[in-house]
Amino acid sequence: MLNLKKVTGGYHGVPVVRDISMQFMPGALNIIIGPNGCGKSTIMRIAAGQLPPQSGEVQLDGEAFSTIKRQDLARRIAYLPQSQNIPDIAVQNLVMHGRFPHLSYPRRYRKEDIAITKQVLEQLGIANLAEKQMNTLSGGERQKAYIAMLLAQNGDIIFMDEPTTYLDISHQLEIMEILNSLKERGKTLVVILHDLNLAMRYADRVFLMNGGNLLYDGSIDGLFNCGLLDDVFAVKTQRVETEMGPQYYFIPKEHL
Amino acid sequence: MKFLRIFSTEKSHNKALPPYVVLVIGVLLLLISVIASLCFGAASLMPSSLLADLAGRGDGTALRIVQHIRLPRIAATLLAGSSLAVAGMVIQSVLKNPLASPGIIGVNSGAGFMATLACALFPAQIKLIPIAAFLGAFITVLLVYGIGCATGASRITIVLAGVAVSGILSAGIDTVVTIVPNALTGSNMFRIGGVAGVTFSGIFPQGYIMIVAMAAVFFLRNEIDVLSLGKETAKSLGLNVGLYQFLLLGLAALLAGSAVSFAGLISFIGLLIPHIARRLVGTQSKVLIPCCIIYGAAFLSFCDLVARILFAPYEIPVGLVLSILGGPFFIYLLMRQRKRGINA
Repeated sequence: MLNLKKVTGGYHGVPVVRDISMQFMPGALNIIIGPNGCGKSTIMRIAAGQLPPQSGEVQLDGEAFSTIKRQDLARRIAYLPQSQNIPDIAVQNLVMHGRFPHLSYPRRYRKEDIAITKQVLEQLGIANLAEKQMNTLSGGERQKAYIAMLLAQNGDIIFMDEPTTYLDISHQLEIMEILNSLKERGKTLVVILHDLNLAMRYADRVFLMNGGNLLYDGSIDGLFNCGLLDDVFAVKTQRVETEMGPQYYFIPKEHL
Repeated sequence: MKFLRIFSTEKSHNKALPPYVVLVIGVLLLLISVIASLCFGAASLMPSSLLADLAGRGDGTALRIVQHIRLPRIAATLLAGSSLAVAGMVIQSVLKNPLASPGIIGVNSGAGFMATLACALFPAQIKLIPIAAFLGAFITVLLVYGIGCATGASRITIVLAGVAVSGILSAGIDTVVTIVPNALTGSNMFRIGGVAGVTFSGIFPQGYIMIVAMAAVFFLRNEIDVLSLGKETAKSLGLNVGLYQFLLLGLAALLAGSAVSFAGLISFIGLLIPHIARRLVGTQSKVLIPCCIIYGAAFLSFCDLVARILFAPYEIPVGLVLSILGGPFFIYLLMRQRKRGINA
């Protein structure tokens, strides 16, 4: 259980997010949405222990982040940053580095780490890519390799900052289905999504941010009903009931 | 020529040879280079006359030349070559910049400036030189890293910052040498980089430090690999990024500073060897570090051999040979980087 208590944070002493309290739903797909520059990535960095808050506190199962050792935190929380630098490394070596937080000095990979690496590669159906270099893969394959690394890390909470950006729609859906399957295996996922359609389709719990503040925290239904989406994104949200449940789409405001 | 073909493989993942074969070939080249360096020079020695001296049957000339002139010189080239190659590889990994090297980003000139300054201010304290060289290297690497961070750390910024810092420090060396002409005996040799006339007492104790520092870098191989995944990813894997960056840059400075303290401002090897090594064995530090050590040592001792026999009995500084070979290679790298569009 991850708890943010009145967190204010940013860079170089300038706050980007202000006074945010949030709690992620365990074993569920938590999705953070909001316009560009609203502080989504900043709050995720703070929640994932990458950026210390300027004030307030983050707690993991009741323990303050500041009292948890860096390495212990990395065993419990995995984080995939948005920045897409493409390392010149084979997929299996990348995935193996997911085991890094589990090593004690002098940090040599053990047989069990190799076994876990193989296992997660098979789980994600990318065992055939094991020996390929990351810089020769497509965007979707690369993202799956990174997810495999997060799985090898084996934390209960997984943070991902825009894992579907720059992917084709089929690969976007594939990644979302993988996240869904992880949820079913008990992982808590916290994901920033740029694409509202995907967010509305997959979120168990949605967090809406704007201008460094948390505006909404709750179910998709509640978000639709409160009308905040329309204000924040300057769109008109439409709901259609389908046999797959309610679906949402967005049209420009002035059309109505 | 099989060996030449592996240099021309287009992509690093397209390894033509398994890493251990590359390492074995490297060791063989190293041995050939060392044996040739023992035999050739101002006076050519036949291995047979050396063996005769060793057995006590010769006049002892060959043995004396080897003991007092060639062995120290070979030790100096092996240590400096491997250290500069490893320093270059570490700096490139930590700064995540393929164009960085101790020579390019001014670490060597920093070491050289402080060493020259120490000679000018305390001419009697020869023991100070390695310490001053290390301090100069370390301060410079932190300075360039700091400038890179402050300006957003784009790859090209770090290189440009390094070039600027390197220029300032070279001017500093020239200034000191102009004011105190005796600051460096044979300052030309120092500035171009060379190991002529080096003695065992000039190489050690820095030599031990270099060996320990290379072992330490190898010990930290997994940390280097994780660090090269990027700061954010490394941090999320529980690595204390700041600490290890500082530690590794410190080791690189120790290696480069020690090399400069007895071999002068040898350029390009820290750039050349890691790049060749990466193409040969890929980016995994476990094999990349040994590859840098072996090929760095082999390459510098080979260049020194060329420097000694090209115009024998006259010789040119090895730094000159390196620059003539290294300059074109650097230009080639720049062109190749631009084609891939990753230097921005």
